[in-house]
Amino acid sequence: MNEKRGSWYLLTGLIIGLIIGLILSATALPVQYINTDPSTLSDDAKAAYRIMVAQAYLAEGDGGRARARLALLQEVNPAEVVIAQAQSMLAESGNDASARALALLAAAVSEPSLSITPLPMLTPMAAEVIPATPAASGTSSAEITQGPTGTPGATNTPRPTATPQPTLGSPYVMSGEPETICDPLPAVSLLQIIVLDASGQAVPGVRVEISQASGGIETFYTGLYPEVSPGYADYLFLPDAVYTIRIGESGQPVTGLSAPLCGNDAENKPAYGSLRVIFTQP
Amino acid sequence: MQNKRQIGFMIAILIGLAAGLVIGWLLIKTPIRNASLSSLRGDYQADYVLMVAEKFAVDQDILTATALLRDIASSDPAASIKNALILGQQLGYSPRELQLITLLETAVGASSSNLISATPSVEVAP
Repeated sequence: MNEKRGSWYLLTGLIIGLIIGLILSATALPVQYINTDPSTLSDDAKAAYRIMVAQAYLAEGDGGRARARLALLQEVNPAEVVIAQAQSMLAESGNDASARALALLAAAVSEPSLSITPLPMLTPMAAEVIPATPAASGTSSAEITQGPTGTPGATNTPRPTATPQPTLGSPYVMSGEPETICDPLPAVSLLQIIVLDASGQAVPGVRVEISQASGGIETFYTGLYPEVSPGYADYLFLPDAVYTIRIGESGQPVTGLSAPLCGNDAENKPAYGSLRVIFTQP
Repeated sequence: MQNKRQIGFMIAILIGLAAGLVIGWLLIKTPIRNASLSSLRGDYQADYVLMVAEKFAVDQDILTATALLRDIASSDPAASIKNALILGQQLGYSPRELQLITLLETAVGASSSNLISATPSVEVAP
């Protein structure tokens, strides 16, 4: 008895293979892209790129270039994204220096007129550089012409890691007395900090250290709310807690800060206002 | 006869698989996303190297610099610096920028040599 089943099995095999091929191309064997631009990076790679842009900004102080680099990521609101990343890093107790760099970058994006003092270079730079023509072998090297003194070129002697100090100068001190904000009564009780330099300009990226008498120290930076001011930072007051804050690396601690009592609310419970403290460089 | 059908079925699956992969890779256009830093175009990679060089110039942290370079060239960070130098010259990087990259290249090279010389050699007992 001859069985006549035709060639449908070939079509079945083809369809099965096609489906497997499509699934593999979408999952296990996706297309490997090359020559992409920064806007196509994954979220993690974008975060790493932003940190790199921020750290380069601290090193060279070129806000225009930092903004141009950040624009390559093609984000709708780059400042907000940078701020969110900085806040997330601080919340996760991530790299403090990177969070500060991001805060400064956010301020630079929000305030194009902002200028910072670049970090000092630990690498001695030669007086003049004559770029070499790329060799035929594909290797390259830039020839460094020594300075007029003829001193030996840069030797990479290990040095201590520099602490980013975008704003150099005298320690910050409290200007006047803290201002109590009761009218209108804020929805949440905040310690509002504004940091200004000697010329009265708001300073982003300044470290604020806050501690409670009961223990525990937290750190945050100015510049994470550029829509308020590049030199602004705030902290949520806990009722009845007493805080000590220190601005910058060498600022004097300001003690005895607590949420101001602004009478009673509609339910006859204590209502707390906010406290605004301004720090300046003498 | 049964064998012939089985072989034909397998060949049909393989042809379908190849066609599926070609369609998936070439014909179905999906927006590029989740790319890695190593997939960036050469000029963007050169700018990334410049950023690493600028950071290195202020903190002299060669381990971090090497780790950052590995993000764009996992196997050979030094090669990414060489490429950045060549491209930087073509793209008109300033002498200062080229110098920063050169200093990074020197430091990475010195760091690699130190690592090689510090690696204990294995002696085989007779």
